[in-house]
Amino acid sequence: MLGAGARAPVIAADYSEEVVKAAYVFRLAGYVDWPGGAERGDFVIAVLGSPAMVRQLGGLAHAHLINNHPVRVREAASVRDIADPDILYVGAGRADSLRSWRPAASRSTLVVTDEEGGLQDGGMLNFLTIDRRVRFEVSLTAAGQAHLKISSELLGLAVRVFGVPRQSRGLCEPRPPAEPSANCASGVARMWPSSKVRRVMGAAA
Amino acid sequence: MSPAMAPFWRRTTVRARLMRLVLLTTVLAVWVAGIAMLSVDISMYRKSLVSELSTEASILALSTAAALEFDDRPVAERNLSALEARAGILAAALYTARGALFVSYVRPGNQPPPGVLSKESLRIAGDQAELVQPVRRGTETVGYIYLRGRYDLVNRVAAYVGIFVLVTLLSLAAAFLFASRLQARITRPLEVMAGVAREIVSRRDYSLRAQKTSEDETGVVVDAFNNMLEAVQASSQALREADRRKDEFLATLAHELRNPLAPIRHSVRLLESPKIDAQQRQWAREVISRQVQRMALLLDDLLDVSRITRGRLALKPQPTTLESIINAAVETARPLIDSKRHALTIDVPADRVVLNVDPLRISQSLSNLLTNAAKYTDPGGRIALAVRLLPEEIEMSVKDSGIGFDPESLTDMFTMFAQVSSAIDRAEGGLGIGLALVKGLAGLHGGSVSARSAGAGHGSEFAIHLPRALIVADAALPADPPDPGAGAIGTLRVLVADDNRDAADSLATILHMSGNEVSVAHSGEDALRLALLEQPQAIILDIGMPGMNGYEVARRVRAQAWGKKTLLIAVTGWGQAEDKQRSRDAGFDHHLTKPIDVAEVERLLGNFQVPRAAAH
Repeated sequence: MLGAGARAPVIAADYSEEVVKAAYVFRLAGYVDWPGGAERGDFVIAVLGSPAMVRQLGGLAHAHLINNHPVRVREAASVRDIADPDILYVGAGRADSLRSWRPAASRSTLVVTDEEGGLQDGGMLNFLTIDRRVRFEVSLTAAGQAHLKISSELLGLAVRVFGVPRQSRGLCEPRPPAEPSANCASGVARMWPSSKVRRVMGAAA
Repeated sequence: MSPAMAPFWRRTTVRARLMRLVLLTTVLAVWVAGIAMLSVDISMYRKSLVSELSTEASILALSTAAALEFDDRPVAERNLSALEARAGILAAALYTARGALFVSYVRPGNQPPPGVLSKESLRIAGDQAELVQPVRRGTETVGYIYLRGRYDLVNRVAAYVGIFVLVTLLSLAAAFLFASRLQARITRPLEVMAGVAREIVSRRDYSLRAQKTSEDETGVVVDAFNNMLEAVQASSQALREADRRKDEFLATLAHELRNPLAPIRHSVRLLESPKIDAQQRQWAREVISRQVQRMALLLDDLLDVSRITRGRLALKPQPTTLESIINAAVETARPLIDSKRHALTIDVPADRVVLNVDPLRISQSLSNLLTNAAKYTDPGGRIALAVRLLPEEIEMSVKDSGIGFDPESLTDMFTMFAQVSSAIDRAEGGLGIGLALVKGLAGLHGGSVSARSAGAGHGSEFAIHLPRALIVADAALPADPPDPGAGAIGTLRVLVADDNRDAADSLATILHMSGNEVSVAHSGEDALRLALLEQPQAIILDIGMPGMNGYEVARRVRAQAWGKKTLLIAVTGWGQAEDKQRSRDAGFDHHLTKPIDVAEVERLLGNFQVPRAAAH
């Protein structure tokens, strides 16, 4: 039996959405594998169209490492200015500008968007706000094209996951979020197969 | 103590004790092993429980770290709910890095996890164990996990005790079977022996034997038991034999002592008769003298044998010529030899031989052999006495043409009371102690005796073997002793004290007839009173008198001024060195052993008088 949890950590007034999202960006890095591994310099986060995020991420970068590397945060004024960071955060309403972005083939960039349909515009991970809480959805197809591996733990927390890794049988295709595929896993705790069975039974009941 | 009186724990059989020992040992071993195993298991159980909780916590940490980091409570709750399958986990919870409760899980009927994170990482209270472990992402602690498991020690110990009881019962059964088989091999021979022992005690039959069934220690005990039975049987037979011999001896002794009495009584009656003439009186006196002599010899032999047996006979060795020994022996045996018309031949070395022996005892031994030869040979037989100086020894042998003996009787021949059975019926009789006496006397001189016979009716040969070391140089021979008769003339004041009136009076009469002034006392007190009154020159004191004994009288006399020079002669039945020392210590000059020889007393008195006479 699941006990009633403590009071839900809602986003407080003095605790802006950017604070939570900046923390999540930092934490996301721990669940994503970049190709190339250890031989690399500073971890670079580029921010497009959100000065508030630049501030928040910049603050965190002083105190935290990502995968044992110092973190550099810079603001991209335009798509041309993006260069090839490790993480590209695209602020709300700027996702469509990604269509003109041509990342270098040699670098893998995790593209994080923050708007409805961000994954259709080329985002790999898109923040959503559901019930006043920050959640996210994932496009495995986009991440796979960039040779990025997203850990199953992270996928387990995703509201929706589109596409499948190359090794798996493809069931999900990127679709408009309004009609998610019934076949697609969505935020299931995959480590516990039994709970999946129970969920199916619960749904039948 | 009869078995019924013994306390119950001593009344049990060896079999029961053995069984009890085996069973006790088994129970002890099982429980010692069990307690050791239990203590190891408790510690192992605790360790394994902690490790189990810790592993569970680590797995949970892996699966819930992302949920904690991204604040995803439903996913975390689902992850915790998987613990439902783990019956040992009673409650679980996730806490944020700041220590606030994130999600929790509790198995129905158990306490929910604490709302505030405990500081302790491990806490065991009662039947529950709590573990708190951090959830890490790299070096960062993203939260804490709390697990509470069942620490079921009581049930575990109870289960163990149950198993021990079962194992104990099984072990006891196995030990019982095993011990029953084993102890049969140990106790069966004991029971057999106990049965034989009981049988022997009730039936007095020492010919029974226990059967030996094994070659181990029990077998040794059975052997020893049988050997002891053999020894007991042999010694009881020997005792019966000795008892029979003693009875025979007593009968013979009575007969032998009774025999001389008839002629003595007849002679006395004859002497009392007024019609007796001088020739008849002379004859009667000779009969009495001869028969008394015979009884005295008999009793002397008896006393000597008994002294030898008790180790109380002391030799008085002195250089003596072989010739004088032979003469004395032949002289003693001559009357019997002559009366049976035997032909006696004597063969001794031509050279003069001097021996350092007790002359009295050696000639006594030889005369015994001669007398025996004369007795056990039909009249007109031949007797040969021979002395040979062999390289190793001096052999004195007496050979006869008499009745001889069977070789079987050789073993018993020299023991006391033994007598050739056919000889008992012979007129000469005898006590059957002569050969025992000879053997004892030869032994005292460091020698031995031997006997040979070609069989019954073929004569026999007895020999005394003495070591050659007894031969001494001629010069050792003492000068002729002073003539005992010389001192007998003259008068001494003599006091004779003995509680045996006849002994005292007869000695006093003889000494009086020798010309001494004699007074007689029959107790120690009388003797002392008379001594103080008369101040005698010589006192002959019996030691064993009632009241004041001879030692005491002697000490009192010696305490007097006149008593310093008095001749004191002790008379006693005891002739050992320590007895003589005692009488010397009491102040006696001489120690005579009963029965005393009157001639010896007269010699001592004479010797005492000679220096006195010379001094005057």
